[in-house]
Amino acid sequence: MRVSDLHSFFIYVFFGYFFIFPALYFALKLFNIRHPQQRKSLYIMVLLVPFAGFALYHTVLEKRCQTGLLPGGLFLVYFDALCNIGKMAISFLAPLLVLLMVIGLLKALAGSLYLWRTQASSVEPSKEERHRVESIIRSCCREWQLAVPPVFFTGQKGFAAFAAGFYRPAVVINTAILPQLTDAELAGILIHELVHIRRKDMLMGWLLHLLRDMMIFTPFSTILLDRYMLERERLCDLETAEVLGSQRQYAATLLKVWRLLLDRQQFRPGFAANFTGKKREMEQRVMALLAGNEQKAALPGYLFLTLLFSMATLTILFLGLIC
Amino acid sequence: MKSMDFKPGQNGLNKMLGSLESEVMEIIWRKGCEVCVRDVFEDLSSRREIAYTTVMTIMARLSDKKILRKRKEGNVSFYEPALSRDEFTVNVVGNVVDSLLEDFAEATMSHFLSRVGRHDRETIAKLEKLLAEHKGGGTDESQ
Repeated sequence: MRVSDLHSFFIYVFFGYFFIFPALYFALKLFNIRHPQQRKSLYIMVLLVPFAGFALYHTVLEKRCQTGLLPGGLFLVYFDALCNIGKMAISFLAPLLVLLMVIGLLKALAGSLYLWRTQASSVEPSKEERHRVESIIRSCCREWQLAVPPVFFTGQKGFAAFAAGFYRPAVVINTAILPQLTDAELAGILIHELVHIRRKDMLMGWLLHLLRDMMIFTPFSTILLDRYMLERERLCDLETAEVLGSQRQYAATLLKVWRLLLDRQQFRPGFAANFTGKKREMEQRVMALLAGNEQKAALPGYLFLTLLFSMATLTILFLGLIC
Repeated sequence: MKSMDFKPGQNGLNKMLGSLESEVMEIIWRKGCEVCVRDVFEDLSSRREIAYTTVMTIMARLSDKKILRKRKEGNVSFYEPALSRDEFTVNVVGNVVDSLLEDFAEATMSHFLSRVGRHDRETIAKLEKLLAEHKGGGTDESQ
């Protein structure tokens, strides 16, 4: 296979999103799909459709040009022009995409290094704080039959807690906020991270970032990834709130920790990176929790699967007509 | 040490500090003791044209950034380094590396909260008000 043969990848991504993105938007509005699990599934499907099309048309399916069923005249002129544009674009983009893939693989290594560095610089909390954290984690893991993850305490600022790692994920928690949280609030934070671990969100997140990087030449891939990440958080919020028994209480925890981080950021020492504010995401998460059961409105399973299948199939057929 | 900009295109301390700030810090570190503005001004003015007030402003700014510690004795302010040159360098390098790792590791991590922006206070206040209104209203639907 030559590089120019990959021109269909460029065309499928570019035109595929132009076709399916509006369809996604209308499907979300028309069917009023609010449940984060279904929305997440839709975003993943749409993100992956160009890859699916590319894989299918280079394996089991035949493209129109291969079947020889090309109408003549103006259509052939446009069709040829499109293929030539695709070939030029891919010859230019191919080295960049390979580089981005390598960087994507290095990101996994960076994640491990960061976790190792965090572990190496971890601080020892008070016995009481350690007991608070570990008892919450152990009781949840026992309930869910999940292996108890390592817990690192850090004085690093700029976050409340995070989960990281693919093979043996760990939970990292900021010791500075511990004294300012009640047991229920601390439970909310830790359960949220455990839900991420249980769902293997870190591995999925990395894979989707890798795929997005390979489609960096279209803004739709970034939009879809951002929307997926929001729904991922909403889903974790939903599960966490169910465990805690109160969506409002958990929403209050989110707001409190958000405020604490903001206050502490004014005194954040050292190097200042330009963080992109995620205010909109936070706002949507809290609003979703305040919406209560409305956010759980979901399509019946069979209808949702039919919608997914239809959107994917129509898009792949459309792509086969173009290239 | 407060936040500062990192400029990879510059050399040495200029990566982290302005050129005058770098010169001032080099002088203070070289002296190795508590100094006043006059001490630094005399050293600096022997090499370049600079106003006394400029040196005073720079040293006050470095004190705000917590790179210098300030002590007032009557009308005179005395400054000493908060960190040695090596400690300062290690601190900045460590923060840069951490920041780079964090940005590249973002894809492999899951946060409880995304990193916050500077203009979130109004949004938080608005949402807290909404939450209070909800609490006053009906029951929690998840219970």
